[in-house]
Amino acid sequence: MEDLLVGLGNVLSFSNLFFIAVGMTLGIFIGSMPGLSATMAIAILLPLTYGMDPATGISMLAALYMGAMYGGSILAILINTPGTPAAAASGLDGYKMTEKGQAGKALGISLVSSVVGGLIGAIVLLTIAPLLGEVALKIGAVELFAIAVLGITIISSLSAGSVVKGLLSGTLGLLISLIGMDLITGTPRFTFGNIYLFDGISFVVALIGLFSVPQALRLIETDKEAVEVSKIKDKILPSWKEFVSLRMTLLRSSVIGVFTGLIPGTGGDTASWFSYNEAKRFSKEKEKFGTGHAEGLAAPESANNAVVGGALVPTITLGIPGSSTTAVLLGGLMIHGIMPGPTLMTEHAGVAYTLLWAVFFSCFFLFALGLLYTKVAVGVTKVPSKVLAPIIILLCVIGTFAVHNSMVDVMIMLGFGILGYLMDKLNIPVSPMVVGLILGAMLDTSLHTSLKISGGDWMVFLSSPVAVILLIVALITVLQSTPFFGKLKSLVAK
Amino acid sequence: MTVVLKHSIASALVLAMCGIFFIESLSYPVTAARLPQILIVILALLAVLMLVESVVRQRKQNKLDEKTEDSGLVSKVQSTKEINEIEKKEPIKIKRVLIFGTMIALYIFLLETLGYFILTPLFTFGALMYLKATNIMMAIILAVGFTVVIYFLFSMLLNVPIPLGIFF
Repeated sequence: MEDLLVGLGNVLSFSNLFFIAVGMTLGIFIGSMPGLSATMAIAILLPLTYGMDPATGISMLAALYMGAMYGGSILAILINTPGTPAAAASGLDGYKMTEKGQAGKALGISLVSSVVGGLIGAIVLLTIAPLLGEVALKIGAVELFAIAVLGITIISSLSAGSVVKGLLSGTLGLLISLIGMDLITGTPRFTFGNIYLFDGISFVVALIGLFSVPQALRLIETDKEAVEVSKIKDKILPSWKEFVSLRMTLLRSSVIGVFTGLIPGTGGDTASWFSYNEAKRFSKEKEKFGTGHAEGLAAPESANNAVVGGALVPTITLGIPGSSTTAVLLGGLMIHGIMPGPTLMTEHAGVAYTLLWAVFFSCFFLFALGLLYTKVAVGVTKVPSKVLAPIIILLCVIGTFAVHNSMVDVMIMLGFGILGYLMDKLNIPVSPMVVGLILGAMLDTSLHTSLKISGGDWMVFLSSPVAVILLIVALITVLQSTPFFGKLKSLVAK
Repeated sequence: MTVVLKHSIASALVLAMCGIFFIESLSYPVTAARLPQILIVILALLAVLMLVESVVRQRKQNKLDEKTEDSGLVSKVQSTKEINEIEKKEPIKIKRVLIFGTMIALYIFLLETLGYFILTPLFTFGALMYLKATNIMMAIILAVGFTVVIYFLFSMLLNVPIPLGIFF
């Protein structure tokens, strides 16, 4: 409780509120630009937080995440090309409203829903995280190992595309994270005599490359024609009556959003489609969905912002990021040498609790800045994507250099960029790799400690009931994708 | 390049990496080699599986265009996936990607010698012109503008270093 109040006090300082506002503005702005994602925005702006206080930096990045979730929908509503995958569902009814000349109303409903979703997510985060943080302290090495295994398998299996590719990407991430000096034995691993690799590959450097360079290259791959966007003419904010009529949809969708966020591997896109379907199922006017119906827009919008609060719960209490966005967000702590893990809430209580409150307060900034932003939104959608490509590259080169003052880092960043681009071409998801890069160290130390306790006996992982359950769930997660399991399912169905 | 060929190359590369890493790990103490070796074995297995999967998929595709009869949510997800795939099928300007990639590499390799203030506006202007992103005037304004803005942002405001090169 005391920590919670300290965090509240921290977040209300002028500099923190200022940078939350900056993060929010950048988030809405970048999210609303065609072809730019929240993850890339956070990755590219990570180095900027290097010069800040850790709490301020991470608060700014969290606000940016929240803002980008809303910003992505602006594009979906105005031109039917979602800025983020999470916003795809918003285009269904949102764009139909724009076609009917209600672009302003659509943006208004989207904004209000996002704020409500964000707030509900933040409240859940503020209640659950401190409790879970306490529990996390009691977690031993054996359980921690199981949690890390479960985290990486769930994310690998649930990410888009084939499970084999997801697992491959995750395992590769884990392996790469082991490069460098082994802290326990002092052995340099996979450095091949290269002095630069002794400290390992910096997480921040790798993720800037993985998320920014492929995105810049994708922007220039094709010639996209500019889309005509009509001006916003109608009133933006919905009336109180309209708002009240949406309350059940908002509440239901936000709860769906929070829980989808909690589960590693599922995020904004799952939440928004799920809540859209549920809203339709519960609605009295099912036939209106897809024709520009307010409920159909409010549902995915509140859900994808509620995800932010939910997704941060496992991220800060256990150090297990549920998505690439939250993984990148952890980079904001790692850049200051703060390692994510179960002790984060206690060892770095100041930072962690400030972050919790920052998510809450960022919703108010979302409302105010989002309202202002609708005035310029139409203009931003016209920015040609090819102009962005060189600028993204500039920011990530200079940003990467700034992290350790090293040109070798920049080259490693480019290497990861090329790797990310090629993986994209093979439809291998990048997010499991990023999560693997974070979890590698946790997996290594917890395995080492567990085996030390047991004197080298692997059966130690079967001695803890919690660990056994987690490992079984991990096993099922992997097996459910195999053809064998499919056959079993059809047998059971018969 | 066919899908199977692409995946064969990728699998081969991953397997090669596994081989090199495994041999390297043999000289480590047992505790340091344990996790890496487990991961290498899993990785090698997955690389083989990936290749098998691509072959199986190719065959399936040749046989029939499969249709999904799943419920609402799945079909929606499926349809967005299809849209993505259609988008990817747009012809990629490989030459453009390669040249832009080379520009990035040159920028990075020359940055320390030539320095930020000379190379950054050159790179930005050159890239914008090559990509035909805007007209000449706008490209000059953007190139100079961003050079200055980024410098102030990093160096002045946040006190983070910038590669200035030998001339500054």
